[in-house]
Amino acid sequence: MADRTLLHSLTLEGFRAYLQPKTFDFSKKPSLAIFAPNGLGKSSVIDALEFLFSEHGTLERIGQRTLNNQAGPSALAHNSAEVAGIAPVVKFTTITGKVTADGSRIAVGNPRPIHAAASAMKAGFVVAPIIRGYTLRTFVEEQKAETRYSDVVSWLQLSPLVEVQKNLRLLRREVKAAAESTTEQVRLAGLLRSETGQTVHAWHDAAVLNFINANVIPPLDPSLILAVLDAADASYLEVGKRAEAEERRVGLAGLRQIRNSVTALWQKTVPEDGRDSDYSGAVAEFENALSELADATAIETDERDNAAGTAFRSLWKEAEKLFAEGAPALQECPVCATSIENTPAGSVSAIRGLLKAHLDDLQSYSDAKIALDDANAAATQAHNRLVARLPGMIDHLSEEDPDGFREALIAYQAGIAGWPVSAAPDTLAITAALEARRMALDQEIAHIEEKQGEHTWVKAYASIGRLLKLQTDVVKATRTTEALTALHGALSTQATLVSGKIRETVQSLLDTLQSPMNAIYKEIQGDNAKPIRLELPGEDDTNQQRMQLVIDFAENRHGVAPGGYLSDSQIHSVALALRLAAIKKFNGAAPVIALDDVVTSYDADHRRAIGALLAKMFTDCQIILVTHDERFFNHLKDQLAAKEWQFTRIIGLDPAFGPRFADHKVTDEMIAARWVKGESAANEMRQAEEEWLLGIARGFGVNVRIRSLEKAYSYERSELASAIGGFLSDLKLKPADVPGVNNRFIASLVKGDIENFGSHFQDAPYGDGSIGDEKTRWDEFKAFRGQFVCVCGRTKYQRPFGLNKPVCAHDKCETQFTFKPIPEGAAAAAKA
Amino acid sequence: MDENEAAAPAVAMVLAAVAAPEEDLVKTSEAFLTDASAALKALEEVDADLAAILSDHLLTVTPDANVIANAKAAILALAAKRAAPAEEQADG
Repeated sequence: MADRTLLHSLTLEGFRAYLQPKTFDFSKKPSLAIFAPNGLGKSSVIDALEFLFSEHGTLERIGQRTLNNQAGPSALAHNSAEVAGIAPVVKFTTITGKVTADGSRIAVGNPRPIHAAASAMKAGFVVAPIIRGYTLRTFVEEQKAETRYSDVVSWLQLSPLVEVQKNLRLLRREVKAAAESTTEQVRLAGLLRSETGQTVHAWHDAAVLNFINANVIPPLDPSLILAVLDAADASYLEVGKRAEAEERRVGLAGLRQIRNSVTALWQKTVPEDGRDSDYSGAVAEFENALSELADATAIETDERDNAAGTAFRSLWKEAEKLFAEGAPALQECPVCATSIENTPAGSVSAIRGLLKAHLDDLQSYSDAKIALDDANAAATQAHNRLVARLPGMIDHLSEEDPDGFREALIAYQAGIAGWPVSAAPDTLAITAALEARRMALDQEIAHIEEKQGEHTWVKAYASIGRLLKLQTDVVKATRTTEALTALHGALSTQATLVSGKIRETVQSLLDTLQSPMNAIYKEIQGDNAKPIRLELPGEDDTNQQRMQLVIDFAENRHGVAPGGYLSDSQIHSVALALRLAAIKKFNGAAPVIALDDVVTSYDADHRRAIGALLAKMFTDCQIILVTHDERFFNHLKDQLAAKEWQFTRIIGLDPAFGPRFADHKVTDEMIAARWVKGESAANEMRQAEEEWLLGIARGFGVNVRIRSLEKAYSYERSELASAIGGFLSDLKLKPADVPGVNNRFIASLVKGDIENFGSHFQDAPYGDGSIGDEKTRWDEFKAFRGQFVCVCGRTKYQRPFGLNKPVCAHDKCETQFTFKPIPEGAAAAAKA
Repeated sequence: MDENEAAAPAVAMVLAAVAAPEEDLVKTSEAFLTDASAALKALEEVDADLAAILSDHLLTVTPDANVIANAKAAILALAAKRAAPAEEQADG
């Protein structure tokens, strides 16, 4: 049998509520129960375990990130740890067989890796070992079946399998949607409608073939018919050949293009109203421009002769002012002083008329010159256009040039290119040829249009080609859908197989757990408790990943959900029983159970039942338990074996220290160590005295008065002291005086006012509170305590039923209690 | 003698008292999925290509963040491959 692993010790330092180091030693007693009211740090112990074994070094309830509420990993550290210079850490020791392994995990910074020894122990946790009370009720009552299933699988550490089931379901849904998708078919149908001019709306080979044979080929050749919609069809191949041939010769579009080139050069339009023909085109425009240029040149020549004396223009302009009407009449020429009367004109008015005639001649010349310049510019522009148009036309003409038109046009082009250096060539022959060519083209185009309209073999071939491509796409889309549908079916089969295997696994685990779970459940709830069944639904898809907890509540209430029929306590018990059964069943390699406040909803009987359950069924486990329920804590102390269990209670939370435990079992050495460090040991002394007082009161079986309801199970020191004092007084037992204190301690006991241990043994405070004073008081107390030691040397007593006096608790001694004389040395020390 | 001394063997008792471990009842998830994957592929009438896709993408304890999209893409590619004409499939 393989060795099991248990915790050997656990130390919290600067972690959660614990500032100063606190070590829980499991080397002698493996199990631990801690009682504390809420908020004093008991759950920090369970937190330490969760942290120690967590994958990412955090707690589920604080998460991975620090948010505004200061949760996240920073909440792992005690809030004063940094100030106190304490590195938050959880230390531990495990024991496997006889081999111990030490480890620790730092609770600050990143990363916070899990220690190898913790990993090794965690490997033994087939199911999670920590049970927190607040998760139990929700598991049964509030969670949905899916969440509950996920939880159980998580407890069994099979979460990846749930993920697989979930992914399989999602994938099936996605593939199903893809198989049922019509997107591609809709797209192809759109293309089909577009290609067939909205004639064919859905792909059918016959319909498309019919469309081709009725609409695509007949305008070209009604006798040509496709037999099948196939690229190898003979008629389709023939269409291809004709398209190829068509591409080699000039088609309708080409003819139209040539005609456009012809009309761009020359076009004669005969108006229907009988007016003269209009000529347009680059040749006609150039001819017109040349004609206008010739006219302008002639006019300019004439006007230039008329304005031959233009050199005197300025002189005439100046003279005009002198001889203007209204100006002072001149008697002689202002240049040569010739008398006006003696000039050829003979008078001022005659001179005025002569000047006007000369100036008018000059204006006509100017106008003619401008007109000539404009004509020149227009002719140049028209020439440029013609030069640009001609090559396009020439290119359209076959080089074979059967009628010599191309050659003529090239010659004309050469002649045109020589203008204006040489005269423009004659256009008569060219324009006649262009006109004839245009008329021939018109006839040819009309003939083709009449024959096939817009249809060409090239277009028909391309259209059929696209339809064939569409046919391929449609077939492919159909086949893809079929393949996808088949794959979805196969996926369903395989997913069902895998999911079924997972379900089978989980169900077998549930079956394995069912019996122990019900045994535990009955242990808590009694033999009359209705058995609980853990059921997974059938194999149908929608109910996968659900787990039902059902009970047969009554004859007519079979298989009902427990939430509607069980009490709060019963519901709690169901969940607790399931968790405990799983841990016990599967965690044999590391039989540790951590219970955090698991009895919040139990009545007294059930608390006792849980104590009995742990004593009866979990003696083979190491249990670390914290509770704020003192009654439950006391039940545990009553029922669990003291040799395996250590019980402790937290009595306060010291912000500068951490939780204060009532059974710290403060030793004399611990107190002495404080003094060695120069520190006061008042707190330790007080606690040691309390521990002793409680132990004697418990061992003697003293009568304690019932306290007020709100503190039903807590004890005050004064009550214990008073009860012990009264008990000893009734037995006529009187302790010896302690040297130096006049027996004030027992007097205080009897009076019941032993409240302040810092100044115990007297009514009023005494001493100066120094370390020396503390030592004196501690020696006094030790001298007093020494009187309660049995002759066998032990200090534990018990008072079985029927006995008046307590006896030594050791079964090989059982000596009746009596005060032991104070040793001389002790008395002397106390006195000193 | 302090009672702690008497209780010292308690740890050993607990260690010795535990029943035979039940860990064999529960395979690790990884082992389970490995076995499931192998079992799936070994089935005679199962679609082997699809089983390979499931094994590669889903039947793992550390699936990719885009596991569903990736697996779906692989299945669509498989469907397209199967839908292609025989000569295309031969060409790869």
